[in-house]
Amino acid sequence: MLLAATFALYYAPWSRGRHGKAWQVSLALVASVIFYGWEDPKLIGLLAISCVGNSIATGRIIQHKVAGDDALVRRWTRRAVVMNLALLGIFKYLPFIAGLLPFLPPAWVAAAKAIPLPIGISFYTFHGISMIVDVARGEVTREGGALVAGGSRSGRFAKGVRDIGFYLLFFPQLVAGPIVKAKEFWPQISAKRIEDIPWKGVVRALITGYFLKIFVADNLAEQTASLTLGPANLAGSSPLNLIPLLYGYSLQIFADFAGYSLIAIGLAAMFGYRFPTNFNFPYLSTSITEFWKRWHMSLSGWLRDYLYIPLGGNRKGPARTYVNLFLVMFLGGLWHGAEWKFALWGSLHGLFLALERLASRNQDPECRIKKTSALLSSSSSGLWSLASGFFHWFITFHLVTALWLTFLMPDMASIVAFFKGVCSSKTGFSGPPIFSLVFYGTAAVLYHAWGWLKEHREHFANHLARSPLEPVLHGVMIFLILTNPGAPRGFIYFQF
Amino acid sequence: MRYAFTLLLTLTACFAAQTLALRAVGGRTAKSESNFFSSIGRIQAGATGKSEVMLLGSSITGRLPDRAQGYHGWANMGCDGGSAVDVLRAMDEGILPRAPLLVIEANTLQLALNQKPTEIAAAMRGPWFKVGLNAPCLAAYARPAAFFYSKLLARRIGGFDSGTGTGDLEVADGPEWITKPHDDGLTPRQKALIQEVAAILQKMKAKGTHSILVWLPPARGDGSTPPDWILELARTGGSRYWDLGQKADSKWITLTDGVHMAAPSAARAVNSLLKAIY
Repeated sequence: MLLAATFALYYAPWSRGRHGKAWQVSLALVASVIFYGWEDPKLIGLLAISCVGNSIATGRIIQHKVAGDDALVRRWTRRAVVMNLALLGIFKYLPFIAGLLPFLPPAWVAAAKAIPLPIGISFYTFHGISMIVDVARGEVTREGGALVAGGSRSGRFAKGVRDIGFYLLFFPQLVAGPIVKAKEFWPQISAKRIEDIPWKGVVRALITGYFLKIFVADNLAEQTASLTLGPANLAGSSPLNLIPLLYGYSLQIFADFAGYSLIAIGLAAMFGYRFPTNFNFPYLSTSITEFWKRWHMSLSGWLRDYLYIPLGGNRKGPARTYVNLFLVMFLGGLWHGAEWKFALWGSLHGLFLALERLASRNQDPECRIKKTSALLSSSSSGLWSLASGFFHWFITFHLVTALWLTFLMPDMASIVAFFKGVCSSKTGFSGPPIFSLVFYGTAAVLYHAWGWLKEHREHFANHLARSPLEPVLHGVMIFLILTNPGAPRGFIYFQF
Repeated sequence: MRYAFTLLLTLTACFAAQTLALRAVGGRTAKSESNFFSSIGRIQAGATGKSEVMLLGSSITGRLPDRAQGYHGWANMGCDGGSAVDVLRAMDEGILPRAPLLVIEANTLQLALNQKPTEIAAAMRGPWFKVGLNAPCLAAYARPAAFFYSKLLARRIGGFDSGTGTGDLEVADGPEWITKPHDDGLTPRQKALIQEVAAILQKMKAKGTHSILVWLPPARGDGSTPPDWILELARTGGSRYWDLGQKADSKWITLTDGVHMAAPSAARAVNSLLKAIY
């Protein structure tokens, strides 16, 4: 209802007038605030603090940048980044840190643990930092100029808050990304016309996104929920039950998050905004390095631009590169949640990234990725190349899948119990997990097969895309969404 | 234009194929891979059309054949992982229709003692459940996955046809009235559940819906008498009680997993119920 009403008003006839941009941005901002505060209006206060704080800082940074005072630009940038991190720290990490400090009075720890985690805080914090840094780097100029251009000071500030608020809160990306960088988003803020909507892309993204979420992820989730029933249950299960569940979770988390990202991309396109691709068939990867270039690409890009490169990236020698890779992934893991299991998940990914870098230290990373990818492509010749490519893919997929255990399981005891169950000689099995893996997981596998065709059989993929196959597939997908949905569940990434 | 036409044509073909498949399986699928949707599907199918007897209970009841397998006027409303109480409450609230006779599985009634709200109970009050009642194609019993899963399950548990009309569990007696109180040593939760469910059963009885509490196979492993609180529920609710599982000849009971009857045994159980009722 909210979406339909917003869409109708967004493209109302008066949106074509002189104040079209102001109308559309203001409307989308109000709709985003209603969407965000629907369940818990208290959360809007925190968003408002983030929004106003970032607006003040952005205005100051631009003023000092125009005046050529780099020291003050750096000072305001630091302040704004610290403010964003402090909000994240208080609401996301304080309960975790308080639990680690033995000298704190129990009442303080309890009070810290009672702090609620505002939905989407990790995402809008990253948006805030992106805006501040991009403005300070001079990568956002035209929009920044509006904050120092003509008109009254209060009027400029109000417009600044509105545009910054719109960037931070735009509802398709608000709670779970994709993380759109300010330099990518701000240049798009302008009056939009309904005839410019790329309907083909919108339909494609929305149908595929809802299909991945409602048909694949939600149906798999009913079975994979049994992986979190505790160590006793896991240790008592047989490998024939546990292994399909692990594969099922691997496909579920992809379908859940890639589905959400596609829905967000489709909705944003309906309102005239282009979001970056967030998933590029990640389970085709033949190395962990490649995996992170295909999985949650907007997070990887953010970590690279605002953390890895400022830390020195690969410019300070091999040892520092390995440390940076590890550190970025460790922090990236912690970004998912203030729990050791996320830190472990990030650390292991960081470790494997560093090991891959070490193993290929004499090669250019891009060349190595192309080489491994090429092993599965048409240009590969011979059985050995094919086998080698398959081997790399097999190892990468299983490594990534196994590492999801640290992401999913509530504690280490459950992970150990899972492997005890997998290594047991029990032979009993229950039908639903295997059936679900085959029936629903096949859709995720076919989706990746389509990705492989696009990358390696481009001509054939283009031919298929032009054939009636696409509307037929979309018809089948809509049919399955309507008749075979899973029990409604929240998106996994909403909790971050 | 060509895109929209092809898409609509495909959708129409899919729904047509689903409708034909639904007819071929007698109006509803037997089971889906999802306990949740299996339960919702049975309840939706049971609530559609006129029934003489409704079977209420858990997945043990869920294995019993109904009108989809040729038992005309019988509706199976078993909730996998649940008990009969959710459906009884929904009937009491007028969400679901009632048949003149309810067969209530006693084996799993204790699950209702934990007082937790169930997903099934919430779903029955949701809009999507009502959509399924009115549009068979969107009902949970018509899920495409359920057609495949039912087919696979039938291979494992046997076909219901093999048991229909061929015999029963050879139990000499039938359901009995409980006249002696069994209210000693009941826990507060048991008392509360008895009070709630007995009131529902009495209300239904006043409106012409009778009920029988039945302990279905498998028998209690230790050969014990039925729990006192269940007998007390039957007494105060004005229901008859039948210990079918305990009294059945074990040679006719085949379990697929230690708990659920194979199709021929389930058909025999329904034949026994038919014999006892009519």
